[in-house]
Amino acid sequence: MTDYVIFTTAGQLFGLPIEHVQDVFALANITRVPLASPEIAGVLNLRGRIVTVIDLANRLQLDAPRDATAPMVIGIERGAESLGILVDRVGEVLSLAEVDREPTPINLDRTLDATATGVFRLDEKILVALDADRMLDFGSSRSIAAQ
Amino acid sequence: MSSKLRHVAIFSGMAILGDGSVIMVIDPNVLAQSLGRAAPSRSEASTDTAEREPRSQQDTVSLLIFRAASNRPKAVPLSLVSRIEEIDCRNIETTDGRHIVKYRDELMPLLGFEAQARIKKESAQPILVFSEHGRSIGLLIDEIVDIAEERLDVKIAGDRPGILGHALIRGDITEIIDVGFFLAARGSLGRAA
Repeated sequence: MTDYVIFTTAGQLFGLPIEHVQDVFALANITRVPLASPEIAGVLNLRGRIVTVIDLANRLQLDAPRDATAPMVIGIERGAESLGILVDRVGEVLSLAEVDREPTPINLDRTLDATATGVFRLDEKILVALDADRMLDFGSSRSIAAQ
Repeated sequence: MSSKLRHVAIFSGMAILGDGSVIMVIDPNVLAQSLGRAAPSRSEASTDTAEREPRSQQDTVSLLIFRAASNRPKAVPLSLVSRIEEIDCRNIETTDGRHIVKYRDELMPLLGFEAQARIKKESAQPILVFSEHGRSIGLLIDEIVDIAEERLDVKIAGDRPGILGHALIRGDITEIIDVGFFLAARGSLGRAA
């Protein structure tokens, strides 16, 4: 069984293995970074650390309407760097059996397919399991990740 | 700067304000270049200020005091330092006994005060970046101690390469480092003797 932190953005349900998640906090006091790529939502100060926040919906090029009433950030540590994933809502932690993980459907969006490790069928919805490394591998980070 | 923001060259870094909000720090040189105006090269600018400032402020210069290799404090005029950086140790590569790091899309040699420069195995390694004619070197240091406004009066000439001499700074015997030596060592030595 793997524990997944469940969250939604742009109407889509996602899960991230809990060992990648450092903390979860409400979005507050974010500073936009002019000239940054569209994936970057901005930077914020979390207990004295500067966290670079990545907008998951923009990163995955999801066009569906957002629910921006109470946006949340999922904190992820990458070496010396603190990153955050901006999502619409964070749900509970689900224990899901690896045998239930199915390969991503063939009609899944290419960007989403490249960042997903598979899908889980829940009662009513499909949950896309994300790979933290591939999700964060974009833009200038590509060359650094290759080292 | 986060690796996700390196593509925004106009910002040299970020800072946290008193109210906890984060601000971007603009690099004026890059800003000027992006506006299509030629910015004065860093070496010109630094010699300019180094010449003008001492006279106006009774011969004091800003000295960056740091520790490296030994417990004796070392100092360098702040105007000669391009940048103070902390680099991720895992980005440091060693080839032929030389340490190299990828820095702003360039390869930059890292030099130390000892033949076998000690590199931290984990977390962040502080370095001083010196630039000349668009080429940079990184000097491995242990820690930044302080910045002092002092008269730079070298009392005893140095007997080791890389050390100009010794001066009294805030009552402590401090080694004044020879930036020119490290910049010259860039191509051939790869490290200071």
